[in-house]
Amino acid sequence: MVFNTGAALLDAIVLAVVSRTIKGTYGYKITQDVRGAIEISESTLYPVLRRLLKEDCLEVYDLAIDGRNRRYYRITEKGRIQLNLYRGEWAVYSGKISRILEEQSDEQK
Amino acid sequence: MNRNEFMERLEYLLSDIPQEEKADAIAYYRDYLEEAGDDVGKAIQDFGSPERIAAMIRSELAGNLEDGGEFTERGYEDERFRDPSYQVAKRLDLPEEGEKDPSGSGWQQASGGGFGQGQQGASQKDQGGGQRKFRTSGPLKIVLWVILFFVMAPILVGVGGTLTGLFAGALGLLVGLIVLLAVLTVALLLAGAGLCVVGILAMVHWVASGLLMFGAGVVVIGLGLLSLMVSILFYGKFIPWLIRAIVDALGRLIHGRRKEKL
Repeated sequence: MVFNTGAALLDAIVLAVVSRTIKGTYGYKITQDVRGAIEISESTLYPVLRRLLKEDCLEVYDLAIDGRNRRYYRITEKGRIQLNLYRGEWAVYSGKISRILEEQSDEQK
Repeated sequence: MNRNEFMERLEYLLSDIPQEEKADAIAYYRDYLEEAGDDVGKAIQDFGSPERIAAMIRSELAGNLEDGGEFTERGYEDERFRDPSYQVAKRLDLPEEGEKDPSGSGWQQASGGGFGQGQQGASQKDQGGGQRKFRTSGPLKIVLWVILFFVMAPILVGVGGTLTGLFAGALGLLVGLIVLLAVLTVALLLAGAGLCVVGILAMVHWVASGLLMFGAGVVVIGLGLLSLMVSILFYGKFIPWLIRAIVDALGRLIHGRRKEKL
């Protein structure tokens, strides 16, 4: 990808991915979903998830699947507030960028 | 490298981090590789190496310790964040505006691959902060020095006594060596010369024993010359080297203390 993804944007994407299911989702699935949007290494998300856990934006619980525990990540109330903040900021920001990039291409015609 | 090898290596590499952190990390990566199923080889390849994962976990832990585990976005204030999320980060970060942090946050370092650099940056920043604090308060520094002196006085007396004793012992040994070498050299040369003279004189009456004495004298002179060479090396090379070494060590000690104080 030409554009870098900052820490805040990555947080926003991870929060959005996790918030899509009410019962939560697990590390491997989160990684694959995030990889659907941006290019990240498979190993990148562990520190991000840890950070979001520490910030109480996410919570974990273990669920027995196929005879072993799978750790599920679920968004918290604080995480939702944070995600809404990110969404608002992103709408404004991406709108401005889109407009300016499209204006330029209009002039070139 | 298969899944078990990878996990074993990672576990070994993380053996010195807190038990809970280690268990968390190991559980996450073990789960991840299990979920990966048939793609496990691809996942391991993408992980890079256990060393890389361990370094990432480690740098993230270091970052957390530095930030006191609090919600902080100082790491977000980074040149690299002049990208789509820069404004978002900036707005969330109003109280700390104007403070530029050269180091990135854990995952940024991870994706950049420069963990060492990130940590270095963090420690440099710490030092920089410290210097800034003390440069503006000269009197405070003096007060701190005085307090440190009084607090440390009893320890200094004890340690100082031991060090003085050791130093005096070493000095005595050195002086002894210096004197011994000089005396030995002079004595050997004089004895050799004496033996030669006596040998020559004795040769007039008893040729054989005179010759023997003369020979012994030559041998002793030879030993004396050897001793002289050793002395020249000792006084000319070793003593100046020793003095330089001591001066260097003292310089380093003082310099080191100064740095530690800042």
